Amino acid sequence: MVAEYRHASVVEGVRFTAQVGLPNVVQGLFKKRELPTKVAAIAKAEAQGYALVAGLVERLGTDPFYVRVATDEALLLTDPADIEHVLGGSPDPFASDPEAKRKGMAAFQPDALTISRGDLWRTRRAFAEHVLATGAPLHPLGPVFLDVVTDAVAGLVALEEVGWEDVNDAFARVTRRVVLGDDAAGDLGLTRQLGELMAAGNKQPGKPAAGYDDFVAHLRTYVEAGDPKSLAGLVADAPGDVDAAGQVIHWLFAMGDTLALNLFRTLALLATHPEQLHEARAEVGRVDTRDAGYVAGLDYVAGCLLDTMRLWPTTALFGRVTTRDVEMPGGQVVPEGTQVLIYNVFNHRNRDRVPFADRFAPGEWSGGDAGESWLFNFFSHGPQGCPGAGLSVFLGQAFLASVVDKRTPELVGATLDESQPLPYGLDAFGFRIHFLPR
Amino acid sequence: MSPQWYEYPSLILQTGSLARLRAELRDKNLFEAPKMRPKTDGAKPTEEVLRARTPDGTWNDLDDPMIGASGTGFGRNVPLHLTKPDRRRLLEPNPRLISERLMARDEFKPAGIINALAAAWLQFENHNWFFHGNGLPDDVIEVPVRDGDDWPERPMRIRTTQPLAGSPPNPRDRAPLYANTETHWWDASQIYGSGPDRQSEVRTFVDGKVKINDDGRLPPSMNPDEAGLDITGMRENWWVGMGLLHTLFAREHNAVCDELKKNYPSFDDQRLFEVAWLVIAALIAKIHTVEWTTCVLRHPALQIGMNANWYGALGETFRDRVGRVGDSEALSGIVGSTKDHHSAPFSLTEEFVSVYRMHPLIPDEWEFHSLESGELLETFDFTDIQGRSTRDVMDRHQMGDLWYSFGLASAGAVCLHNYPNALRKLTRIDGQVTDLATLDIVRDRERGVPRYNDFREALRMPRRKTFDQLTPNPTWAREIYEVYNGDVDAVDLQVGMYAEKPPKGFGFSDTAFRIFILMASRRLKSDRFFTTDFRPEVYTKVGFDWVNNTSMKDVLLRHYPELQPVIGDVERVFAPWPKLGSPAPGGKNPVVRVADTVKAYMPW
Repeated sequence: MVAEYRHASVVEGVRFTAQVGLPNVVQGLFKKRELPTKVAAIAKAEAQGYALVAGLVERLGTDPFYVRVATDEALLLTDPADIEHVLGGSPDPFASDPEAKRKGMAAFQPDALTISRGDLWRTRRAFAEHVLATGAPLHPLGPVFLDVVTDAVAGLVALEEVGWEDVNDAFARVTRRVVLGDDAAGDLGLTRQLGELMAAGNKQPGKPAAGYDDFVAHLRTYVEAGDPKSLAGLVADAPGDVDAAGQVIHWLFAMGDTLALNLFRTLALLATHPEQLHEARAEVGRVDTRDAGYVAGLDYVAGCLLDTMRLWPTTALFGRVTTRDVEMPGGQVVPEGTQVLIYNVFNHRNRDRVPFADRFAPGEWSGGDAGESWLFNFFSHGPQGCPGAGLSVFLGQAFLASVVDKRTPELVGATLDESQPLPYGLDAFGFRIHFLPR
Repeated sequence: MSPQWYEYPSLILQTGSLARLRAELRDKNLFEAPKMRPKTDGAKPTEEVLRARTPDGTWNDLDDPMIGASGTGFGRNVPLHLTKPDRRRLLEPNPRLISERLMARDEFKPAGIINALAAAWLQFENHNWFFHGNGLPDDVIEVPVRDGDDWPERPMRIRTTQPLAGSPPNPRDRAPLYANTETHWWDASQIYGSGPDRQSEVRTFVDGKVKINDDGRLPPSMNPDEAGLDITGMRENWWVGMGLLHTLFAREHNAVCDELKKNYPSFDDQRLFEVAWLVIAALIAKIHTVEWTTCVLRHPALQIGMNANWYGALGETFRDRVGRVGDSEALSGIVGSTKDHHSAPFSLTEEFVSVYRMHPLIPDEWEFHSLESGELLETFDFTDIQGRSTRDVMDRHQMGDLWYSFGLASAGAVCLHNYPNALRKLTRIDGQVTDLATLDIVRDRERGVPRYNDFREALRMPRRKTFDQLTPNPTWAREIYEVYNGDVDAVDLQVGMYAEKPPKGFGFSDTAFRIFILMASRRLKSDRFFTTDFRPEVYTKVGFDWVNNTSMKDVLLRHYPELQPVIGDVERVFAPWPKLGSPAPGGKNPVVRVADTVKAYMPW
């Protein structure tokens, strides 16, 4: 007889909803809202979330357990073996379209790969893998994108001091050039349209938001032009009958918003961690950074970005939903329609499992085995792992290599003490980066 | 005379008294003879010596780079004019008689509070600190052997300690100057060797690592004169206890190298090696200070004092959260404070060597148990697990079984009639047969270490006027009286210390402890890498954290995770371990708990 998974108490469920579920909604699932994000940082929502889940794990053990989120019970996973089982079994029987995510994403990317199932998912996945060159050591357009990023860095360092808006704007431009081509470089309206749709997504409307059709039409002009120096230029040769415009939206979202935020935070870490800055520079100094192949080989620099994403995952909580009754590795059966939750804020910092939990440890990715761990899911993992992870990391390598090669970043307006455990949140609106000459 | 420190009625007064004692000892009990180290006027430190320890111990002190170097002289804790060897009485009373009548173990007296691992640890540390060299075969002291003694030669020959090269062999007003073949520093030279040649032998020159075989064991020495020994820094007096500890810390070194290489991919072999060396040396010193010492000296005042030596009176928790508090040694501990030699340049001392003669810690009979089943696998006499036999024994047993057996076994009590008989007839790897009990007496006399009462007086401790005052044991008092023909002032230091009743909870005498509190803190306080340069910029952040966050239990479990069922819940790994399946002894004592918090009181 297999013992069923344990259940957190009703009170714990209320706390979980308040401390883990709610902050994710308040901060904006898709478009970070400035004011609530600041409030959340002050309230240390993530720290509370971590402490709550740590307490639950201590009481209920490391097996999955049920915890009430609002009115439903969801299964929370903390053991990497369970996480591997679930993410390895996506999208079936663990579909990646829980209601909140589907309803939210429907506002601005109703055709998104991540909320697709069955054949539709397979076709869209193959399309994405082709264009994004998933698994390739270097994207075929790597040399072109390297120049795009280098241009952006030149613009940023010329400002001498930058805030989140500057970096976000610069990366929005990088994203438009990389995804859609140079003609879209200055198309601020396109980015503004996407921002409005994403903000609408925070309300989880469950259908395309007003303006979606105009946005897609706008987008389609670039995709159909197919600038050969952009991802749009690779669409024509991609397999399957896929509406490309519906797919590129996610790339604009992930690259323009998420990658930019992660890189901005990486700069804050490098500015406050002289040893890591020294190592990044030493690695960059050994290669010709004008060669995209060498840039893609900057493992430690990549580790700087990856560990930032571990420390402050932009997706704090994500989930799967069972498409049928599913048997878990221990023999327990999870009923159809159950939400299965993976709480990155806890797993990435789990002090019982991660020796480097609260410090900036790029070397764990370049010289250790952090890359093999199913605890770290900022790019997700398994069949539904982010198909653009490689390209994203490359763009990050290019950005960071170019910055540290030219300038010494200095953190302004906030402090990060490397001798203390790093905080659970780092508010992008709460600091600036000053570029000192080397 | 005012009360001894432990006679004060409260912990606060006791710690206060200890603080005063140490200050007075620093002021009045540090001496050195002229020319005990060469002058190096005008030399400038290179980048290499600024950032790391050197194989021969030079340049730890940037103002006088020869301080603490290997080959430099031992200092003294008693004034030099009191160190004059009494050649007329060198063999009076006969040291072999003392060995037989007062030292020889009649039955094993367990220490109870510490295990055989703690016994091995002390020798491991002695090898870190000092060695007088092996002497010359044709320059010997001849000890008469009585008729009926079963000693195999007549007379017993003990090699004379060789004076420091170039120093006068028999100065008129003081004892000869002897050299330490090891570095004086607490620099883990037992692992890394004292000097570049020995250090090169232990290094792989790849990724900073030291030599370890694929099976996790140290490789055997290739020198035919060292059969049974491992390749490591210090190989004298080798036995299974040394094999275990040297293997453990060589593995720990390589684990540190892996972690450093991961975090600092720009580091080359040399940089990885030297940072890992800093880390291992500091880790060993920390374990010794806050784990070994607090286990051997279970007096509540020492629980606070030793944690204070390392972490400061504000406690470990506070220190971790806040860092150092100003530059006060009293508040924040010695480690990370400003370097200070006090009244003499740093060196270890002859008296320090003398009070660490604690051979009764070693049991004669050894039982090796299975860690898996608990069953008794084999029993040995100490003779069979040392010297040339060492590697054979270790090859025949699982490392986990050996660790478990060392953890289970009690060390011997440091007292009279408890000197291991195996060490009273020890065949060394060069074939010499030695009675270490006889040797211990001869060495103190030969090197001009005062006898017990003079020694105590030099430390401002009361002289013992009668034999009854030496010891609460009337039988021992009578035996000592007989051996010393009623002359209480002739009683040797070792005999007096072994006869003493130690303060409550102490594993050794208060007399030895006086040297201990002076020198233990001095080993830290004089060393640049434990004071001014104990910081992340020198150790690296990863290395600094490794020292601060690692305990002996962590080290053991990292390399021998199979010990988890036995020591997983154990608070003190140097106390006898619970038998397989038995619960660990109760949790932290209240004073240890107090010392972990900000409420801990001022130490010395």
